[in-house]
Amino acid sequence: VTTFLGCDIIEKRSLALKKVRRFFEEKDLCEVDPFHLVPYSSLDTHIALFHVENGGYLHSSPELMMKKLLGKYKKDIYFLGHVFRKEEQGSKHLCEFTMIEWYRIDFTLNQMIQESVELLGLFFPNIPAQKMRYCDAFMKYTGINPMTASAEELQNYLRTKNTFCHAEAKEDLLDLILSLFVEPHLGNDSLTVITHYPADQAALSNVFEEDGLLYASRFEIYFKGTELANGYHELRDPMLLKKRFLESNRIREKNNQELLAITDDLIQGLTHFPDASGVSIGFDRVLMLYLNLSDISQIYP
Amino acid sequence: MPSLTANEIKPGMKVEIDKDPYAVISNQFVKPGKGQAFCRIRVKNLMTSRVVEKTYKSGEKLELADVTETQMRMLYEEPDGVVFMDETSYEQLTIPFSVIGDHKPWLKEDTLYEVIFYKEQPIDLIPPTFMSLQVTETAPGVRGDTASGRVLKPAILETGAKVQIPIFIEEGEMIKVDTRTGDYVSRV
Repeated sequence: VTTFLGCDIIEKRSLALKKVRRFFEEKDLCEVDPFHLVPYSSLDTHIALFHVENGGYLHSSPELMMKKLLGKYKKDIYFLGHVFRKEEQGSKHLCEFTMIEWYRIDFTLNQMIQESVELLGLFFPNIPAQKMRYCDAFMKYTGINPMTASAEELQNYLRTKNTFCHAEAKEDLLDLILSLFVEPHLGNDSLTVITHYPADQAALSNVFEEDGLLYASRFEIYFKGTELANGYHELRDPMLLKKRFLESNRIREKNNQELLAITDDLIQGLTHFPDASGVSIGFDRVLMLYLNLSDISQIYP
Repeated sequence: MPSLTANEIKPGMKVEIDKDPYAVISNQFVKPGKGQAFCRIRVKNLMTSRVVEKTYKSGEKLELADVTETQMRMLYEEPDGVVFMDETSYEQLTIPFSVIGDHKPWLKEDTLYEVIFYKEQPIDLIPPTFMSLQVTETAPGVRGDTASGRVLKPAILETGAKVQIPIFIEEGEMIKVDTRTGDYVSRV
């Protein structure tokens, strides 16, 4: 059976790659394959980078280069290729994996959600999509309101779950509870689209106000407890971006991680493009669920 | 001892947590999309055998524990413990009964055991998985008992272990036993 799987997997992978490319061709998106070796990293507080001996990094996402292309050519573009994230290894994580990332000029966040669901539908047809707010997902599965809960309440909750952790910062505790006690329930019989992330988790997305609260223009899509997609209505404000880089570095410093370089070239590259939404999807995870496999390393021949 | 970050911890490694040595059973990596990564590590306390789950931020450092394993041959029993000999250095060592604990019924002279040391002190001993031992006490097998569905009977082995054996085995016979479960395996 294993040899059959080993033999079969390259064909299944090849078909899946073709299917994704056909999806974008039909929508007239232009495929781009920017350099994987980049001078700067993008804004990611919790991603460790692969350094290259003579300077630069292996990209952890094509975001920076794609946004530069978006700014220069003002065309809808997609990327289907490998990205690199040091220290990520587990049943759903690989240090090198295949990502689908695309940008749509003048798309609203909702249009981007629709198109992401449509792409996932290539692999999971007839699975309905259902929207849920970040706070509601938290409340539903843990009883915790992530906006108002204190770090101490989060620690107490973890104690009732027999989970002991040294993390003290509220944002870390929320991430832990999300991973262990919320995510496993998401998308069990539908593609669950999580929206209304708290503004401090905006990363590279815009923020918007609703009922006096600030939210990130960001979504994620989960299927069978697995995060498949992360999308933004893209931030284009250089001042705000710089502020987020500084905040990210504050956390990275606390965690003893190397600091991100912040240069004018980088800030400009990440903000000088037309109004757009973008999304990235973990191709390997999609394939893993599509083929009913339990470990992501099984989908590499 | 050197330390490793939580994401580098692999099953089988020995780590020190709150001054106790632990054996790593599994390490699960979790990370929400844009968030902090964590490692959920299942560990067994080598002093108490209790299994617990600990969660670390993936970059957090864990100290490796000074745990070593040595092949030692049992020589003889003394009032306060059992004397073993290191198979390579021929040095002798008395391991107290408090360390031997539940393994006592599996002690047989001239047998090789794996002795676990923590900071050079013996903390546990692992008998061979399968041992051939003589049945020293059991009731005679009664013909026809198999019909009633009773196929096992209690027995005491030469080391004092109390096990269940098939009714056709008689006193004085040698049998092979699984020391992890105390299950009868076969006649020798």
